[in-house]
Amino acid sequence: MIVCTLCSCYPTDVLGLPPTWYKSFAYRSRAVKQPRAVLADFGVTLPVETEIRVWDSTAETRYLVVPMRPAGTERWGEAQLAKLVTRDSMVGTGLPKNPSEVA
Amino acid sequence: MDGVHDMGGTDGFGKVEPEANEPVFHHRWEGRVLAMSRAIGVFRAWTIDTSRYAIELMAPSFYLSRSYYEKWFLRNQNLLIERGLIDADEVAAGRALRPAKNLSRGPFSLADVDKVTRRGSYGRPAPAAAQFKVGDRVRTRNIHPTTHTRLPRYARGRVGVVERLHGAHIFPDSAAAGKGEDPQWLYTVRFDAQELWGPDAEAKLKVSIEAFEPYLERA
Repeated sequence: MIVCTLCSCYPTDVLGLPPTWYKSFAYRSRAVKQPRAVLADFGVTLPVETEIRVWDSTAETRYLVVPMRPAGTERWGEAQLAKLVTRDSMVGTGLPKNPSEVA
Repeated sequence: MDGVHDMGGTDGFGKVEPEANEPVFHHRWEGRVLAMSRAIGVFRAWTIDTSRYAIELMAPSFYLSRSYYEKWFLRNQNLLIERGLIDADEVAAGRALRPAKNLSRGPFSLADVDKVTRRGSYGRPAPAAAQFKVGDRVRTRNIHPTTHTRLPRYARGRVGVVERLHGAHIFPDSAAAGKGEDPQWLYTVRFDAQELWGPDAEAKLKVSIEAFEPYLERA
């Protein structure tokens, strides 16, 4: 999960302007302390054994998440896979789309 | 500075509320403020660090009650006045009362649009060899400068591991204080959640910050 607790640094060059929630005090304050609660706000629940990693963008380096390839898409090409990738999945607050949604 | 902008770990702001239709701007003027901010950037009247510090200097009650673009607007206004590019009575009048000040370059033109929408580079040649390497255990310094810093409070005095070296970058603490670029090595330092938040921290959580070398000492 990517956050900027000090202002609202965001990989704008790649993802465009940040959504309002990314700049919100709620997100900036909680992402580094309670990322599972933040994920719940997005309707995402991860298994307890899944490690969560948060990057606080405190310098001019910018981060985005490369979403995990969903099961069942091993033979998919790049263009097809790209349809699964959402903005939120690259910020780390969402999972990529379900393959059945775009197949 | 230990301001309200340093929000990591603060309780009480409630749930994160993604919007269903998520407009890019909620008011037309917000787009104008963004464009204005980018256009001003071409004159290099101040740096990104100065502009962040200018927002941090706003009164806590203002910071917490005003929107993102309201703060951007006030920052532009404050810095333009501080740099002598406009005067306070001109802001009050809503128009120029005196001939424009000479800028370091000519007026903004359409040809500049591409330039100001592209991100600059903050990497600089390293002044010395890096003091730490990947895998080193480091402790962040317990510092509380009253000026601009990019070391968040929740990560001060904590032990972490160097995960990555990014080369040397402009040091925001110096740049915002008008002391020049003062390039310093930049590291990704990773902490276990328990180190930051104690025994009740969320399980299986690691958090990293981007830490400049002056923020760190060997652990």
